[in-house]
Amino acid sequence: MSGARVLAADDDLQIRRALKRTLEAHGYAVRVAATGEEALAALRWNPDVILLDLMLPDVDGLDVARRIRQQSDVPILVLSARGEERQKVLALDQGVDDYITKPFGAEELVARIRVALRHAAGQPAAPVIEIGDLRIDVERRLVTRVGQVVHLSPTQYDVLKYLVQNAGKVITHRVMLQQVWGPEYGEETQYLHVFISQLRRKLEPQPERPRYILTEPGVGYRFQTPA
Amino acid sequence: MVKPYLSMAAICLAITGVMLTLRLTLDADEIALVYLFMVFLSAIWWGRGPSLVASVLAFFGLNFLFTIPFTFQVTSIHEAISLAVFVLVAEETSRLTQRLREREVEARQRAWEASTLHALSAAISASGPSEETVQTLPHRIVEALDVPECALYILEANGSLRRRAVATKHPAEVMSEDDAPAQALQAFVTHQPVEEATLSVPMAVGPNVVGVLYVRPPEGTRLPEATGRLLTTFAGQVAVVIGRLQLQREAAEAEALRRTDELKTSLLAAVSHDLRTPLAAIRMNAAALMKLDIQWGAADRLEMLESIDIAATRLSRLVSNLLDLSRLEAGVMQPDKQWYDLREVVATAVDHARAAPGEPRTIEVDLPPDLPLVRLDFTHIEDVILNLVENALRHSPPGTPIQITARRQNGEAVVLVTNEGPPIPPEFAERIFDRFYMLPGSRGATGLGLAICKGLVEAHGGRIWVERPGEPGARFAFLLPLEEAPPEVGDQPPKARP
Repeated sequence: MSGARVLAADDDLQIRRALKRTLEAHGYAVRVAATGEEALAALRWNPDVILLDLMLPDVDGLDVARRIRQQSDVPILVLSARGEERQKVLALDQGVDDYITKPFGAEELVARIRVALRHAAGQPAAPVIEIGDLRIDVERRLVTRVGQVVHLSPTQYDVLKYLVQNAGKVITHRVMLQQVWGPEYGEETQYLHVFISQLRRKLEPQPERPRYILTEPGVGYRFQTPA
Repeated sequence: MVKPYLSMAAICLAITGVMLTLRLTLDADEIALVYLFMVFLSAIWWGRGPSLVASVLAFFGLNFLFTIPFTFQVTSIHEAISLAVFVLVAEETSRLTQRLREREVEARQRAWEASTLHALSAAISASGPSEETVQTLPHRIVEALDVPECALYILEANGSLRRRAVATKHPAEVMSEDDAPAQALQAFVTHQPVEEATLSVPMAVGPNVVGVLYVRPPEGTRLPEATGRLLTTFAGQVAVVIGRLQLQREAAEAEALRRTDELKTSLLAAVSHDLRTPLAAIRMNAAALMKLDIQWGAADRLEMLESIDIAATRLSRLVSNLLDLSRLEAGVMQPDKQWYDLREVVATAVDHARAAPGEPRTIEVDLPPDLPLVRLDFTHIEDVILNLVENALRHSPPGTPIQITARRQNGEAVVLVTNEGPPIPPEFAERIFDRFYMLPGSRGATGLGLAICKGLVEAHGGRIWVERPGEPGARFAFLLPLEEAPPEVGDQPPKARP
């Protein structure tokens, strides 16, 4: 989806410059904003995706995210630093779609933007997802690895299915628990970790070095984007 | 006040009555003696006023009843002398008695003062100059003097006089405020006790007033003079305690400042070199790339860009270590613990270490497959392992491998990072975890990594140490307590959505 409009809000001039140059090189139309107010004003431009730094000089980044959400469903990607896990979770709870941790490479950024655009476009996930030697047939609830059927319990399957349907996007512990177990859940993360480790043992070639179900430390999990 | 006069008059009447019946057998001299004795007793029992009245009554009694003829006049020198003797005896005796009484009261007060002061002083010297002593003083004063309330106002560092401690006889009857009342301020400024409805006594060490002792007497009364005197003496002793306490605090602050200063100095010394070197590399390479008049070959350009990347990566690690350290020192590094597979944490850290620019090295990871899930902060423990691995790489010969192993023992998970470098001398095995502490001759280190590891591991309730110090191949170990592992759950109800 080249030609998509990206609004990048960051207080640092060098970062704004780098973002603009990199994204334009990848064929995006880019506008930058140095403050929260500028970012909110630029909503009239109808961006397709917003990159938002949480440390803005005028308005708290979380506030900006909330105010954007009141007006639009445009996907928001937070640019954050390592060690700000709590803030990331807060932002995700406030309706932010994803985050990317600084320092990041151009490829990673572009991949995240693509995922965000794809999810925003509401494209139905492919009925069959293939990644590495893994094949997941969502319609038939069938998972095969190197052609061999992998037997999953219903809940294991539901966890996997939710991850796969949101491939490339971070899923917080809370969201995952509520989506799979029900709205009354949210704090029982220990169950989630157990299920994830069971799934990895069944699906990953090297469970301790996962390639498909990635850990987002302190935040949640992310299914690797299929190529 | 009338009662002594009435008692005296009653006795006077009784004696006169008795003597009236015996009149014929007594002569005037004996009657005079009995009256004199009565005057004497009146002076002792009831004091000056009643005894003077008694002497006048005695004179009239003697004159009216027992002298012949019965007249009221002071007619003879004889009668004048008897009146003068009565009055003189009354006057002198009552004066002496009064003085004795006063002496006795005073002696009793002095004794009370001395013992109270002694008890209060003993309380101070028993607990020494501590904040606790200051806090308990008002209680002791309230108890010893039986007053409703006592407070200590102490001069703060910012120059204000604030209440530091307060006590009341009955709970919840505190009437003093945090800010010193006007009387206390006046006492503080004038160095003199101020007594209005309440008593404020300045507490001074030499010429320096350190605070005010404030006492509220029972409603509508004033404190006895002795109490005021005692408080003035005691205030001096309290002042000494407070003065000593302030000196101690100042000394502690000076020590803290000195240590902060030391920390800053060593931080600057350790870090400035490590910050400047990569910065210099970045600027040099960037400047070269910006030269438009030089046509760099593709290989040259790539090499310069790689140098910038390597330097930036090193800077980034250093900055994140510095941030970690300052957060640890500030006590804001609270681990956000979740259940994780320790093998995944190790693998992530190892990937990080391998991705670092520079000569590739072998990192052998051998973790038992049955390690349970551990509750930990992923990024913190990843940081610990990364720092240990970087440390192991830095202090071992190029080309030699690093080993990471782990074991489960007694409800703890132990992770070991071993290199083939020189041994760590046993005498440094503890200090090596101090900030900025570096083994003699170690290069390229900042003395931050191990201090951060220690802080992070301890924040998890774990421990870090040098295993088998003195033996070749340095080995660092840290343990994390295994909390009760989450149950191996089957599919939990409520049933997942289709």
